[in-house]
Amino acid sequence: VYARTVGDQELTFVVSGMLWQRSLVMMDSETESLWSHLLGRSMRGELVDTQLETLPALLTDWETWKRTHPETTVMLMRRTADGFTRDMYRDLRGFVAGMSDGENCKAWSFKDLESNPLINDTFGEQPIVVAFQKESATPFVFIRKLDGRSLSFAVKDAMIVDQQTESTWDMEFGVATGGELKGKKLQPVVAISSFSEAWKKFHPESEYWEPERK
Amino acid sequence: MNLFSIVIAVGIVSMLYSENLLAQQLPKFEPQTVIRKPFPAIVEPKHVTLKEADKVVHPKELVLGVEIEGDARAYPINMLTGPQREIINDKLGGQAIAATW
Repeated sequence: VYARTVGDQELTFVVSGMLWQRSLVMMDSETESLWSHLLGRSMRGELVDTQLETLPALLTDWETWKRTHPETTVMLMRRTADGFTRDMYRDLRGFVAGMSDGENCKAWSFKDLESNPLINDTFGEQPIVVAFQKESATPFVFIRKLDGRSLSFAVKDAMIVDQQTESTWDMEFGVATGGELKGKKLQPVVAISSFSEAWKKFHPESEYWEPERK
Repeated sequence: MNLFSIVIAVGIVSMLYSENLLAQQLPKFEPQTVIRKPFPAIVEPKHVTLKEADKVVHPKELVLGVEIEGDARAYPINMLTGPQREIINDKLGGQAIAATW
């Protein structure tokens, strides 16, 4: 999901009818520049090299989204497919959670996240926590810093706690549910659920999280 | 080792090396036209409440969820599929957004 305002201009995006690397090429109706769908960058035309801002979006199932966003509205149109359900994730090897900010680029394979559902990690300089919800194959990512202090998370008695204060956390919301930090919220960051192959192709420079060898 | 096998060996090594180099770079932008005419833009799509959507959207169906400035909206992936549906021009939380997957 992208912001479609560039400078003062609001753009309207359409499907151009072209493909690049088997991926969609978008066109804006205002300048007819061509844009890579996966990169959010203009590749040709008046706006070439312009980068669109990526907005926080989460690919998850309806059950999880409505539980975490009770005030949500929904865009409804006639269905054009019916295959996109949780069953798509039967083979987790085909998917990654990816983050890219122009400077840093990192991905976590769903397969690794399945066996390591709570990772204290860094992205660039930023300490982050990646929490993976297996049932819905959803990666929830937050900056694990609160009032200037870095937190690290672990599972204790089937609860997620931070090791600094042992407060308990709900990682769907990034909110502390008990203990000293109760009510505190972590800042969410955008991770994109993507096909592994597409991520590799469009982010050849990407770093990959690797489990520690034991 | 004769000259012939050296030439082959050098050839293979340089091929591997250049492939390796290429792998670090984004491929050149060479779009292929699949359909001649761009599809019409989707603007101002219809929105409904959670309660209404619940009658139509299955709990296990995938959605693309977006939240801006406290405004949340879900886009069911099964309604974003197919060339005429890939990009939805919408507004959320006071921002113009392109919902696309």
